[in-house]
Amino acid sequence: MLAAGGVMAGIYAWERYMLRVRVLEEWQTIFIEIAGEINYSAESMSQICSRIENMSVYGKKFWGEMSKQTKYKNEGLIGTFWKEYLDGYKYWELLSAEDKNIIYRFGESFGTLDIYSQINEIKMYEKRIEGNISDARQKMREQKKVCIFMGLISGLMAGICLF
Amino acid sequence: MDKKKDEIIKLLPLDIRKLFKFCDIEFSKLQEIRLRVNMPIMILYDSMEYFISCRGEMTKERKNGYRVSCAQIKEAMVYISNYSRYAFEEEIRQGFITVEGGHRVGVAGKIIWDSGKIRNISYISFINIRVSHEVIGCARGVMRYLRDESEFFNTLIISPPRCGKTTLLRDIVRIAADGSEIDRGMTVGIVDERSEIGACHLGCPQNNIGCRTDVLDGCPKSQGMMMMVRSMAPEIVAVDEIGSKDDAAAIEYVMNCGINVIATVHGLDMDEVINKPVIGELVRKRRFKRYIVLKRGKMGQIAAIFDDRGNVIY
Repeated sequence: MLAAGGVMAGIYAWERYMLRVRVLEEWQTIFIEIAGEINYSAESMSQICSRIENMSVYGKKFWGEMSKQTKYKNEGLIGTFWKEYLDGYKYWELLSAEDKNIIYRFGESFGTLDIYSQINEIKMYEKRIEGNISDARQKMREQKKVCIFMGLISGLMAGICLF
Repeated sequence: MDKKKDEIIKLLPLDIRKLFKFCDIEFSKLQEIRLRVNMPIMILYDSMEYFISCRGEMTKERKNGYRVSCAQIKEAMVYISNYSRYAFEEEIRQGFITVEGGHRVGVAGKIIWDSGKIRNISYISFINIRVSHEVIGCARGVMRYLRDESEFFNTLIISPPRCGKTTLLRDIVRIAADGSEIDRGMTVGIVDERSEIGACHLGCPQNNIGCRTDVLDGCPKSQGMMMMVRSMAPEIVAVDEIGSKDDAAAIEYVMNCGINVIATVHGLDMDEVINKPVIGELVRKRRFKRYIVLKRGKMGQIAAIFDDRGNVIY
């Protein structure tokens, strides 16, 4: 039982790698969605954020706040509140420093450029995040066995110590 | 008025908003706010120019004026474009953006050319916020000269700049479209090349232009008039600031289709307009039945109304 518990703990530790991949994949989808909206319908940022709020799994609260703030123009430039509200993004703490940097940098220029520049910039960030997703998937595969094995060992050691 | 104040204040950078909150400004008299990089904030208030000081007071002294920085101009552009600069690329290319409330924001800066056309304006360093002032009812007094029992007359409004010709045109359109107990409402088509009549923001007119009015926003007048006639079956077509050969040709086309035209033209008086090469031709052919001349230097005041023979009827 303790061994099984250890394995479960190992799986839980491994899932954190998996969630990082999921969150990054969602951001990649969001970048593609935003680029599409800007290119084909040139909707306002508030409308885009509202649309993404509906489709997002991990960032509903964040995109909801962004939609509200960009509608009412009370909080200042987007760079001032983008970072602050990102703390409310689910599993934000699981992302690496580089993942976060990509998303911060995107927020600083979102909505301040013309169509051509904005779309090119989004493509650039999307490529960077794709690189990070590949790394994250690789890590996830590598860590799976390690986490489960460590969990099993911890469970067995706990059993030995107790008995 | 609070709504108008709110609409204007929200276009300004946060630091400048604080100044305007201290400032004892009646927004009904505010005509323009000009932001120029490294220059003091200037406003046109009740037809007089003032600077805004660092304490939020209106002053005539330039040296006391609060200077606008480059970063503040960028910040203002973010709010003006609703955090969506990409969505206003076409408007920026034209040199102005119509914002919520019908206010027009003119922009200037470095032009980027592409194959002989303006592609974009980058490094926007000059912003002119023109506050929209709809004057509902300003055309009530002239309507009886513009129609009889059977028809609405082709009308030309002649005015120098900044004397209220667009405001008058807008109200004529509104009254014609809405009708009254005596007169039936008429279908009006506005070709609003510079978004000044309807002041459409994201496709929605911000001014009251009547319940039977359709708007072609941002469309060149000559093409727009033809399109309007073919697609929307108007009884009246309204256009602002006619002057070119294409405009005149389109107006004749519209009139030949049996549709009435209300238009405005720059000019001090009838004599000046008659001497214009293109519009003068329309006047000499007596294509317009009514001419409304506005007083120079006086906002919205009518100097005279003429009929097609040049007789003064008001």
